[in-house]
Amino acid sequence: MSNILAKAEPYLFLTPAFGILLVFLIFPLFWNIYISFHDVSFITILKNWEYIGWKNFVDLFNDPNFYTSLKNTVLFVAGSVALQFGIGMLMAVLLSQKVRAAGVLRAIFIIPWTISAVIVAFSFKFIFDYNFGILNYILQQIGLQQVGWLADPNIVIWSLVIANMWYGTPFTMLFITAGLLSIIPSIYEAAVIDGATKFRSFLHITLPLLKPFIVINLILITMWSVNFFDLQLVMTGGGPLFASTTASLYMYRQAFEFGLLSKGAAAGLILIIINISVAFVYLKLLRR
Amino acid sequence: MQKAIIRNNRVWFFAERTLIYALIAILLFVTIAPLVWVFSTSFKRNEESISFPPKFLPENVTFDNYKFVLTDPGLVRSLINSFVVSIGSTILSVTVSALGGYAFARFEFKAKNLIMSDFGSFHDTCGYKHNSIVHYAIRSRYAKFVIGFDTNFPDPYNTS
Repeated sequence: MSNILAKAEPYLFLTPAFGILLVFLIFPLFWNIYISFHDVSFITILKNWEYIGWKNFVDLFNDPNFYTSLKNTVLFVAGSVALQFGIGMLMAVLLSQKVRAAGVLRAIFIIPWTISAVIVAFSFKFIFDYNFGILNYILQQIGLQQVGWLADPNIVIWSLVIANMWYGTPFTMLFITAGLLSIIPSIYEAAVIDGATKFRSFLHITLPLLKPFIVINLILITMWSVNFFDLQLVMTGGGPLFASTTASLYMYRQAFEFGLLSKGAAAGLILIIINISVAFVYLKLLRR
Repeated sequence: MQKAIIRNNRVWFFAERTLIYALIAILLFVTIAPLVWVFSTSFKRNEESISFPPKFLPENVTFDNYKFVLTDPGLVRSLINSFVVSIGSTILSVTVSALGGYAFARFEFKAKNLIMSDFGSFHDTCGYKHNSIVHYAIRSRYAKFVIGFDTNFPDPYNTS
């Protein structure tokens, strides 16, 4: 009897966590799959949900806007991840160079990440505004043309990337700083005695030891960028037309703006598949 | 000869320090400039905040905006909502994750490795799509930290 109890003990501790996962993640996931194979929209939601097979997915892949949104997601995620990771890494490394008041500076650098994304979006909406935005004012003062940061279909996605960079970079800084602090300083002392330059010790000591941190960090910021839609929704609403609609916002707009809930569910499912495959690729890289 | 090398080292040292501090200064400016802009706008009158050319400092400092927000009954309600949501979800996620984390740290059991590798990542891939924005913020800030860090945190020295 006591033997069984001892065996079950770890699982008992895990029961609440799995309960929450079951109710808030696994059940909605299957509910989502169920909806994506039925015809559910604002019109039919109170009637019988008709089984329509793969029609939602077929509709989705026949929608040119869906391809636009996938392209936007690729641009948005690639830009965000590259900038967030590059600048965050730079910040972390700079602040680890025995800088004065590094703690205070870290605290200041972390501020953007503690702000709600909606507030960030509103602030940048003002900064990027065509008529009274500060960026266009500065451009005008230098003698350049005003830029339609949020109105030009070719530029709008990069404006969103800039806003997301400002918002998300501190996380990378924090994460990489934690990684840097975990490296025992005596390794560097040994490297100095062996005559290694700073650059070489960064390349051959810091980076390999940081690798797990870097990979986890990349997974997190990639997924957050894929799923992110607060900025787009508040700053542009996905416009002009679909120029700044990423796949996550496409899903939201289909489901709650156009009322096509099952089409949105199908798009959400595809987004999950994208996320899982991205994570899989990164984890493979980590294991290697 | 010896002196020249030492002086050369010194020059390099100062060049490097200057570069580090210059880069930090640029990053610092980029970080706080939008914050300062928002802060300064909060003291402007409505017509001034959308005037062109924009002014860095408000011409007439006004506290009307703060008065408007602070006397708005909707704000009190939404602040209470924020507290309830954030405190509630923090207590819930810390309790649940602490129990789970304890199980992982204390016991050896069959499903451990399987769960450890999939637990955190599953949470990331299908999380928070159907939730409100507030919920999104809470989940991404707290729950992920607790669950993700406790069970999936990388070990750079492979001590385990």
